[in-house]
Amino acid sequence: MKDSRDLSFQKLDELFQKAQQGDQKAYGQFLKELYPFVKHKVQQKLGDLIDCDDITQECLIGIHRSIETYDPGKDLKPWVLGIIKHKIADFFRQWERRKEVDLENRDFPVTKPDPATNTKTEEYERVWSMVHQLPDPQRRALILTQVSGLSTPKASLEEGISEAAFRKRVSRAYHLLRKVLNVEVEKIFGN
Amino acid sequence: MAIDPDKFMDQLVSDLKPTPPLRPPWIRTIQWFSFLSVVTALAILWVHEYRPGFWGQLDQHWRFTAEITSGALLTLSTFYIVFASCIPGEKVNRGVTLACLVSFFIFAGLLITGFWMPSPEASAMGARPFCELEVLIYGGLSMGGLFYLIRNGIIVSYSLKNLLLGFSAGMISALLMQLACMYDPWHGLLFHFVPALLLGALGWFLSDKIKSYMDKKSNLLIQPK
Repeated sequence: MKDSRDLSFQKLDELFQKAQQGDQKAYGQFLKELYPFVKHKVQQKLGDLIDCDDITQECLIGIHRSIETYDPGKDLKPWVLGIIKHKIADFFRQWERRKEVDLENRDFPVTKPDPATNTKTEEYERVWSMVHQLPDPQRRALILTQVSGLSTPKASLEEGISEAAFRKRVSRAYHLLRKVLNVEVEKIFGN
Repeated sequence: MAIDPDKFMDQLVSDLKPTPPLRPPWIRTIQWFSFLSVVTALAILWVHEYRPGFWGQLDQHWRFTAEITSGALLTLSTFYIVFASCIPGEKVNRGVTLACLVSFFIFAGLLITGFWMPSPEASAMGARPFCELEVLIYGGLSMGGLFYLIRNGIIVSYSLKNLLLGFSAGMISALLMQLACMYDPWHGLLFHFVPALLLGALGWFLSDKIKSYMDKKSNLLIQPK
């Protein structure tokens, strides 16, 4: 990959116009040239706050999804910068939301009077054993999104299926997990 | 967690399909404004006929014509602002923003003047029993369609765009209702234009819900170090 400072948007413009017509080779070259530029911009804005590759990839997914909104008669650079700006704003908004949720969830009361039953290790083990009861595709979907922290578009790319199919898989995983949880609760409390 | 960049780019490349660029915002504005106006006009006609003699009123009362024209210009310019602001890096034309503001003030001025000097004379001719509901239903459906249309747009300021979107969708049916229903400035304000404003408020209220739904859908889980 080239250094972001060598980037020629005129060349990228040509490549992207070919990509709009479905030229995969030109698109691959376009992404390879653009990746370091986007990463550099993200690093400039976020510093070492996060793993910049993550936001860079979110930006490239944004570009991939918005291909149709690019007008070949106009400059490519403001279009790309607009998407980067949006994704960074998105990151900050979600970060703020997560901080609020974290504050709300603090100091939860214990669910059982016996402290031994509330140890984290035991809870983790219990959750993991439930997750491992799920069929392979659903388990992978859950781990990719909730443990590895991949976004749905990225995780669906990783699995090689459409986003809609992946979302359905995650939803099915939650549904099955709920069933497993009900069985566990019945085992503990009897019914 | 980031995927290996090369693998990630290969996957994006394999997902590429030919995608012709969208038409410029002003063309989309005219297309969708015309389409929604015709559909709403036909829906209004299907429910009940238009006020008798409204063409003649447009011809004889310049203030009434100016009210409808400035309202239509206001709607057109808000449509343009919404479409243009969904394109990354696109700056909304200042002229259009100015036209939007000017047409808003002219429209509001004519509406307010009408409370003291109605032109044409206020009358109950052509009154429709549930005109406010009609405005809400047609405007709501148009708003839903527009939301769907811009679903993939890159929008930073959701609240303002969705407020404008809801308002402009409501304005189409409100303006047509001014022609179809009885003419009385107070009735027009309360039963035709207030529902359009309500749709704007609904758009603004929904903006946060839509954004959090989209966030949830994309499930971006990037944690600070």
